[in-house]
Parts: sequence; structure tokens; C-alpha cells
Amino acid sequence: MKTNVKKWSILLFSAFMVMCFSGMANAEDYKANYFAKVKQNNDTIGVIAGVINYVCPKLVPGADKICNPKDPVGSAVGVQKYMEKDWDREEDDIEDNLPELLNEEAALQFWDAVEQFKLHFSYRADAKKLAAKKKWYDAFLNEEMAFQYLVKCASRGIFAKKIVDKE
Amino acid sequence: MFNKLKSLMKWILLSMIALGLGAEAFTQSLDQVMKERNLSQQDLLAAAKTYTPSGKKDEYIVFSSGGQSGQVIAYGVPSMRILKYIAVFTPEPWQGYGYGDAHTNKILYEQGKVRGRTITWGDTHHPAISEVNGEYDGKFLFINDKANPRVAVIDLKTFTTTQIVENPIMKSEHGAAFVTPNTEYVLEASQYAAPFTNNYVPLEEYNEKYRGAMTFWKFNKKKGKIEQKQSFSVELPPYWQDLSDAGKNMSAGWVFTNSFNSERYIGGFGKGNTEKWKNRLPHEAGVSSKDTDYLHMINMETAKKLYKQGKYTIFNGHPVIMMKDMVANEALFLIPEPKSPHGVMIDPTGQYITVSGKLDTHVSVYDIKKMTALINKKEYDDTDAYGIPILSMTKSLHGQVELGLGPLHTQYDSVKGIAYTSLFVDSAIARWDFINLKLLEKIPINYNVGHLVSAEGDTVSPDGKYLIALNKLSIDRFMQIGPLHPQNHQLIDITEGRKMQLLYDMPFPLGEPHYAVMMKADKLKTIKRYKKKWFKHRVKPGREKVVRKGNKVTIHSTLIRSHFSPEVIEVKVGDEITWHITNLERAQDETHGFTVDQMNIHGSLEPGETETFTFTADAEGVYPFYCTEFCSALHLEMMGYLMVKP
Repeated sequence: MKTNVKKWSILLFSAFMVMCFSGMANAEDYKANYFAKVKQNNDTIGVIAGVINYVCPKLVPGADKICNPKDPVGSAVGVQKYMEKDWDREEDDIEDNLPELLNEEAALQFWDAVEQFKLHFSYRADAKKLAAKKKWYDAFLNEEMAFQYLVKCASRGIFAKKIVDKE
Repeated sequence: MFNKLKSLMKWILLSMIALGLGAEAFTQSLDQVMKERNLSQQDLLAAAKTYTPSGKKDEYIVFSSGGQSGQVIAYGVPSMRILKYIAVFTPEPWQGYGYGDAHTNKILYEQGKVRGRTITWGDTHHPAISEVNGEYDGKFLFINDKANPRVAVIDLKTFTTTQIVENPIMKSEHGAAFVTPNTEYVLEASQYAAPFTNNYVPLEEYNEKYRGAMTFWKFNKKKGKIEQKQSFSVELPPYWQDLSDAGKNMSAGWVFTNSFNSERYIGGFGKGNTEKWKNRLPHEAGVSSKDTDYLHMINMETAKKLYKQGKYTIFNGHPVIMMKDMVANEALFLIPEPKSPHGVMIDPTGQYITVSGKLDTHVSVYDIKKMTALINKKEYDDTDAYGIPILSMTKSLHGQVELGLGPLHTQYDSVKGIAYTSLFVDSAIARWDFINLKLLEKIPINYNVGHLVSAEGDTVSPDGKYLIALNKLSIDRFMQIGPLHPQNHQLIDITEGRKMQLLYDMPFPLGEPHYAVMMKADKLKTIKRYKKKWFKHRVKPGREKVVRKGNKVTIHSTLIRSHFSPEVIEVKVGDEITWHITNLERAQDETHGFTVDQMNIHGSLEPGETETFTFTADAEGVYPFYCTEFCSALHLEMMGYLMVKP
């Protein structure tokens, strides 16, 4: 009987240890994945910045006041604010009240790209907080969610570029 | 040194030759393409006139009836590229029309009921665009259902059906939809005479109790709706009315409709006929035994006045002005027209009315001035069996022109006096002068053309330029795809000063496209997305929830690239589910689909749109729901689970 208890105790302890180590291994994986995703997101934002700098002057008149190659995010938000200046979001009538644009079709695609871009911020911020608490899995998921919005932003941004390039 | 230079030169020369050969291999001349594809100069010209490069848009939009499909097809001209099948009388899954969404279900299955029966198909014939002063305004499209007398309204802001109205007194119709010059009324004329009531009436009582009618559907442009309670009909004799049109300019205020079977013949051919109607020749013989039928001429202003005065009889809840009252008020006349006509078309000035009898080689051009002069003088040849005055055909005619075999339908050109008439038996289109009464030119088509349509061809200012022959048969034009062939829309260049040129064959694989209308594309004022505030049950982001009251569960959900919210929903067997779902997208063309496993529901949620689905969770299980449109890179991940607990 004693022997059996001992046997079972060893078995359970071994199983516990295996689970602990595998948990550690997963945590390490997620940590690595998180940082890889952070890098991927930074790179994606770099590509998006290039597209913004390329299309921005082709969308709005007086681009020198709105488009600043050193601040692509500021440029993008500037274009969106310019488009929305007569727009009441509650009334939901952006297309009825568009200001003068150099390329309306492209600008509308760009507007949506900026909307998607804006949505990635909160997920990255949460990811950072979670990473500080070493909650690597959740941090990774939030960074992944941010990536999804960057992809959506890139997708519409590419449409805008195609339209201005008449591809 | 010299040898080095020589060697270098040799290399440069060889490289140039290689590059030249390479370039030659990658470029093609038009001559090569013509030889390879066995194309003529004319073919290239036709291609150049119709080819519309990627990203370029068409000058015109055509709305064609989809015949038995119960739909309307929209396509561009000159490219002939199909843009949309507009679901009207038939459920259409892609657009989620009639697949569970409360709004479209109401239109199709409630408004669309005929005498209480749910009908899921239609025989669409004649589309009409709303007009202002006789010009298309691009706002609404109307289409009829011949089989189950109904008229539908399509809002051209969204290219969706917004209303179906059942005709309460007709049992079949054909002369619809046609509009008055300011779209005050949408016209619908009956076809096969029948009693206005829904009772059994023996055919022996045909002459006394069977009737035709013209319905004047009052259209409210502001609401975009037919006002059934302000609409009325005019009783007509039991001749089989055919195509109709409203007068314009000189003929404004009059409404016209063709007829056939003024013989009031009943067939009884072959075996199996009822005892009283046997051993008779078929309808096709008796119905066309007279040389002429009657063009009907209805004074709309007097009809409106009689309606306002309450001089009508109610049938099935619908007011009908009786023939005797129309006659007593000099508001209904008949004029003989060549037998079995198909089409009464009014020229842009409103003065000349063209009628073609399918079994006559002539087209007949009536003059409204002559017709109204006869009416003003009360100079009638006779009255028919119902006391309706008959005007003299010869005194009403401007003249007749021999065009060919089987003239059918006419459209107008921008050039004064020029018209185009389809020749069904000839399989040709005739270009002719309806003022000077002469045939100018014919072009063969393939085959058996029915209606035809020219650019803005039935407005007060046609554009000319393009004409489309809506051919019933295609026979050898396309590859064989079994015994059922597509029909054939043939685009023809009708530019002034040139011979007509056939440009393009478009197979039409959805039904018999009876009639079409062609409008300048820049008249369209479509929306790119819905405004969320238009929807009573819209769900705002962050306000998603599931609310239970007894066994009634209401799901308030949203979707946006690439997720639903909520994604996991639990209900119990027997719960009655109402599911409001809002597409939060603002981006153009970012449509999401919605379906739940086994529930036979499908929605197409365009940006900003809210739809509502109702169903009962009648069996326990796990039911995935997902977005059916490839909306984004993570489209496959856009799903959720409806968990139905025992």
C-alpha cells in the first residue's frame, strides 16, 4: 500500500514538473513571438509611412500644409481632418460634404485606411502593459490584433495608391 | 587596341540584335492579331468602339427586364458589361433578398402576395425610368410582372427593390410599366381579359363580364412609393390590351394602349377541351382573324377628375371608373390599328404615334392633331359593342410605311423624324423617316428581334448613338451549351451620317429580356454606403448585447473587418431569436455576408446597413455563423458560434 502511494506521488510530481516546464517553454515562446510581432508591426508601420508620404500630396490641395514626410501619421490624420471638416459624424454624411480634393476616390480609400490605422493604437498600448507584467500570451494576442488593423490599413492604403497611380 | 574595339563593337551589335529579336517576340502588331484571330477591319472598328479599358466607365446604363428570372439586369454601354442583377420578384441569395432579412422578406413575401398566395417568381417585361418633363431623372425604376399582375419600384440610389404592389383586379397584364412625363402615375394595362372579381365566371359570359383595364398607380416621388389608396383603374373592353405609353408634349394628358383579340375569340383546339369549347381552331387563328384591332386612347385628366368625383365602382377594394362614365365624359376612344400590334410609341414631340402590326409589313403613324380634331368635332366612324366611339383610321393617320416582315417595336433618334423599328420575322432593324414616310436602311440581326432600345429613346430628347436589338433567338451566335440557348442583345452603332454597324453580341442567360431602357449614366445618383441612422434597429459599436425575455432572445450584434461582436452566443432549444446585425464599415465596397448554419438565412450587409433576421432555435447543437464575403485577409476567421443548449 505504502509503495503504491509512493509510486503515485512520484508519478504525480513528475507530471506536475512536466507541466511546469512546458508552461515555461510556452511562456518563452510567447515572449519571443511577442517581440517578433512587435518588430513586424514596426516594419509594417514603416511601409505604411512610405505609402502615406507618397499619396498624401496627391489627395488634398495645399499639401505642403498637411503632408509632412517627417510625420506620416500626422499627415494621415491631417488628411482625414481636412476631409471631415464639414462632416457631422452623427449625421454620417461624409460623401455629401466633401471639401475640394485632388482625387476623391483615392481620398475615400485613404480615409478608411486611417480609420483602420487608428484602431491599432489601443491594442499596442495594451500589449505593452501586458508585456510589462510578463503576460506574454495576452501581450502577443494584443500585438497580433494591432497587426490585423495594420493589414486592413495597408490593404486600403494600397487601393488609394493604385487609384492615384491609375493602375 | 583596335582588336579590342572591334570585339566590343561586335558584342554591342550582337546584343542589339538579340534585344531587337526579344522585343519583336514580346510585341504584337494589330496586323498579327487580325491574322491570328481571323478578324476584319470592321471587326477591329467594332472592338475599338466597344472596348472599355479597365477602370474606364460606360457612357450609358441599360436596365433590361430579366424575363422569367423575375429580375432586372443592369449593364453598361458600349462595353455591354453586366453590372447587377436587381432582385425584384424572385429571391436572390447573394443580395440576401428573401433569405430571412425582415425588410426584403416583407417586400417579397408580404407585399408581393397575389390574392393571398406567396409567389416567388415573376415574368418581368417592361422597365421604365422615372421622368421629369419627359426626361429620365435617374431616381426610380419600375418593372411589371406579367404572370402575376404586379408592379415593383426600384430605388436607383441603392439599386434595390423597395416596393411591390399587387394589381387587385387584373389576372394578367402586359402594358406596364410606363410612366407619365412627370411620373405622377405609373401605368399598368391588363392583357388577357378576365372578371375583375375573383369569382368563377363562365366563358359564355365573356362579352358581358370579362374586362380589360388600365391602372393608374399614383407615385409619390418624395416617399419613393406607389400610393395604392390614391390609385385607380379605368375599365376597358375585353380586348386583350398590350403595350401602353403616356403621351408627351403635344399628346400630354392622353394615355394609349394597343390591343389584340378585338374579335373576342375563345379557342378550344385539340383534345381535352371542355365540352362547350371544343373542336375550335386555336386562339392564334381566331384572335387574328380581323384585319384591325383597336388602339385605345384614354383621357387621363378626365379620368383623374372622375376618380376625384367618386365616380367609380369598387372591385376587390380598388376603385374602377366604368367605361360608360368614361364614354359619357368623352374620355375613351378607339382607333383601328393593324392587327396583332405590339407597341404604341410616341415620338419626342408627342405628335406622331407609331403602331406596328406584327402581321402587317407596314408601320402606321398616327397624328395626335388629327385624332384630337376628330374628337373635338365629335366625328366618329362608329361605336364598338360597348358604346366606345371609334375614330376613322384613315383620318387619324399621318401615313404608313412598308418596312418589312413583322414590324414590332419602335425607338427614336436624336435626328428629327428618324426612328428605328424591329422587324421580328425579317430579323432586321429598319431605320426610317416617320415624317417623310420612307424607309432609309435596314441592318440584319441574329435572330427574331423583339423590342429594341435606343439611348434615351423614349424620352423627349433621345440621344441616338447606340441601339440594342433584344433578340429572342441566338441560334449559331455562341458556343452550344445544350438545347437552351442564351438570348442575344446586339449593340448597333446608329451615329448620324453613317450606315448602321453591328458592334457586339451579348449573350443574355437569365430569361427573355422583353424590353430595356437606356439612360445616360451620369444621371445616376447612387449612394456608396448606407447611413446608419436610416435603420431603426442599428447597433452602435460597444452596445452589442443579448437580451432574453422568456423564450424570446434578441441579439444586437455588429460586424466589421474581420470579426462579429458577440462571437459566442448561447441560447436554448425553442428560443425565438431576433438577430439585429449592423455592418459598422464606412469603407466603400466593404460588404459582409451573414449566415447561420442550417437556418436558411443569408444577408448581404453593405457598409452602414442593419438587417434583422428571425428564426427559432428548434434543435440543440452547435451552429457556426460566418461572413460569406471574402471581405479581408482574415475573412475565414470572421465567424462565431451559436450554441443551442438542450
